[in-house]
Amino acid sequence: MISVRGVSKSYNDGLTWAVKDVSFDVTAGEVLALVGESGCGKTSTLKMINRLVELTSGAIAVGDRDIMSIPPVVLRRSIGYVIQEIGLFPHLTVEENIGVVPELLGWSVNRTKERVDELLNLVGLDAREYRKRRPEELSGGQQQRVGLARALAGGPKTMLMDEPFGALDPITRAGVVEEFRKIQHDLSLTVIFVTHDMAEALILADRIAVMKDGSIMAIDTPSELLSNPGDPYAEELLSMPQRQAKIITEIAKSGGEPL
Amino acid sequence: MKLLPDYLGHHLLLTLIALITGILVCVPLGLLVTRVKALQWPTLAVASVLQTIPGIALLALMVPLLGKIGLIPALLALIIYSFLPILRNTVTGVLNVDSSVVEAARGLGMSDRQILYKIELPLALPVLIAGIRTATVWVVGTATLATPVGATSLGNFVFSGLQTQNVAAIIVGCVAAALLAIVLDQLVRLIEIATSGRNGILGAAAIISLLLLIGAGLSPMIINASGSKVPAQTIVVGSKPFTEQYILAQTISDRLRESGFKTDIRSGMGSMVLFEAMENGEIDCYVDYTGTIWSNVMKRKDVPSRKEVLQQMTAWLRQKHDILCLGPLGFENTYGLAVREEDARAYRLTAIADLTPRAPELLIGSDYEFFLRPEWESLRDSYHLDFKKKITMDPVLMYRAISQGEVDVISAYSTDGRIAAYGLVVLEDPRQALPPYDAVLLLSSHVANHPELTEALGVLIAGIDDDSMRQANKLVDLDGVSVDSAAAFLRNGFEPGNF
Ligand SMILES: Nc1ncnc2c1ncn2[C@@H]1O[C@H](COP(=O)(O)OP(=O)(O)OP(=O)(O)O)[C@@H](O)[C@H]1O
Ligand SMILES: [Mg+2]
Repeated sequence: MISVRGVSKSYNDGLTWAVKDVSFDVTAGEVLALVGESGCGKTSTLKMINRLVELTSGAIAVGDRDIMSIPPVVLRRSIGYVIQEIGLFPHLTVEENIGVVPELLGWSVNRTKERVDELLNLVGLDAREYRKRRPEELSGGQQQRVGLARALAGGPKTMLMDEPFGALDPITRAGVVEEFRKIQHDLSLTVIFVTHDMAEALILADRIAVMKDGSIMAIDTPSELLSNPGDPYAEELLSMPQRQAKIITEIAKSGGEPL
Repeated sequence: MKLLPDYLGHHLLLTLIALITGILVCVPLGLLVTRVKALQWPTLAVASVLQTIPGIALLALMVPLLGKIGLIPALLALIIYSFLPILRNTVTGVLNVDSSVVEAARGLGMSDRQILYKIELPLALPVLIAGIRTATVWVVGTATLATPVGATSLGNFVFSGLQTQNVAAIIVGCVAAALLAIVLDQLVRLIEIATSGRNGILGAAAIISLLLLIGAGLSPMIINASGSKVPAQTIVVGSKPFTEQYILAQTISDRLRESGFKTDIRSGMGSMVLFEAMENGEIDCYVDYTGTIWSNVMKRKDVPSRKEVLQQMTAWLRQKHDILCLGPLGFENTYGLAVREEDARAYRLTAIADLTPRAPELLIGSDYEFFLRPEWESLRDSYHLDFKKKITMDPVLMYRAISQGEVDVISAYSTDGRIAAYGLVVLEDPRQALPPYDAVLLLSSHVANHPELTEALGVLIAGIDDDSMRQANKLVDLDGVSVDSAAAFLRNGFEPGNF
């Protein structure tokens, strides 16, 4: 479904490389998590797929077509895109925010309206209550749900999500992640998402790609990576939730005494 | 007051055309500049520099630059004046749009154009409108300064009111300009509220009131245009910025109207501006003084007899500038140096030469033009005058300044009623450093061959003597009589009860 072949990116004419010779495939209906520390090239990799950033070398295909052969605007309308900052349009209502892509695709007013209601219900917001609200009248979690609905509005088969559940408290976050998992499953979406939360990656992803300094150090299923990481960096990163869980258990046992 | 609709209409028209042009130029330019970052700094720098030029200076500059007076230079100056706030706010408005919002829009598949129209412009609108509102207030204010370059505006009340000591006229001008600024500002605000809140009714109401305003502004002109009698041509009468000229322009205009002409008075223009405007055919008729033309336009330094100056000037104007000098009005208004009576007595001052030894301790005050004119050079050189300080001020204030001792000598006009009223003595000029200043009626070439017109104005030739003119000036300057009444007085002689 998405195939990335030997892709590199330099923002300064080859002086430094944000992404170095990265290759991977994501099959239809699969969820790939991109993990790695800040500045390792996750966002750059994601944006090259919908051409928000032009690749320096290599090739990317989406649905068997080379992305360079598709006009960027058409390509982007066929791929759902969610950014960490959410980026809802502050001057538009929830309904109009979600309706942006249907409008760009030339849907009728009625069809768009039905779609908006459907999506609001899908992301767990009551359509009647929230349709006419402005982004500023929503909580952070509600905004993130609307952002998700907006990305899904045109009925894309593919989703690119850059830290889609960041900036949420853990409880809300768990709820939204759970909902997204259902949606992804029901619509059998192909998803590439970036996260800093290893637990989230382990729970949500079919496969995880561990990036460091612009390269992929390891890419495999969560269970395989946990049992047989094959790379010391990947091992350290992925064992983080387990190590934290252990420490927490010990704190609980020590009866609150510092260790 | 009867002139209010006319002045207000012109003012409104001037303001709206300038603002609309400013918006049409600056919003696209501002948007371009947000795309092409390299242009941003230079464009804003140029706009900022233009903004630092004082409004009156920018207006004055347009006259020689365009070689024209009236609406066009005034409009151009006002348009330039509206640039900075609109341009700067367009740029900041667009650049301040949250970059993540723009990225989201691009990521969803909006084209650059769609991002501009659907995202950036609507989000920049409040800041952009704030810029337009600033420009509105500035332009309404600056438009009052358009009077001296020959464009009619509410400034006509202010400038003529200042010269003729008509406080009511000044207040009418100020209040009307302030109200206009407030109304336009609020209308722009309404349009903004309407667009951002998508309130169609409110928006329609704002736009309808704006259109009504434009209509109201234009209506006096339309009525003027449609109600015209034969002959249809409007005779434009010019005047310089002092009382005598206001009265004479009114007298000429009254005379022409009696003979069925339509007239338009452009008051308060500078000497050279006025002369050039006549040459260009923008002014049809005005009163000048032989000596002024002799020294300033013909650049003559010699001073022959009164008759000689008149004859040579008439011939020269006809040949070189195609301007007809219809003849002298009968009075002379010389420039002279005046001192306080008590000083004249104490220091035995009778002629300008008596000032020479005392000049280094004395302050001299004069109008805006005098020190720049060749007559001053000639006076200075002939009598070796070296004053302690030269102070330029409005003619209205000169007399008060000398009587209160703020200056010791002023350049006075001999027909000014205030010379006697303020107890001043005009010093003699035995060396004839100054030419004679007979008031003459000048006509531009395209009305010069109009027999009805020359006949109508012929009555004025040799019809006003020194005393009548001085009396008329005094009526306005000292007795608070209106220019209209003073003009009537001039035409009817010394009949009491005419005003
Ligand atoms: N527009 C740009 N111009 C120049 N350099 C850039 C640009 N965008 C990113 N970079 C650089 O490329 C490298 C990778 O950036 P990228 O945003 O892909 O990292 P990331 O893995 O998404 O980090 P984070 O987890 O902090 O979001 C960084 O060193 C960054 O400074
Ligand atoms: Mg990133």
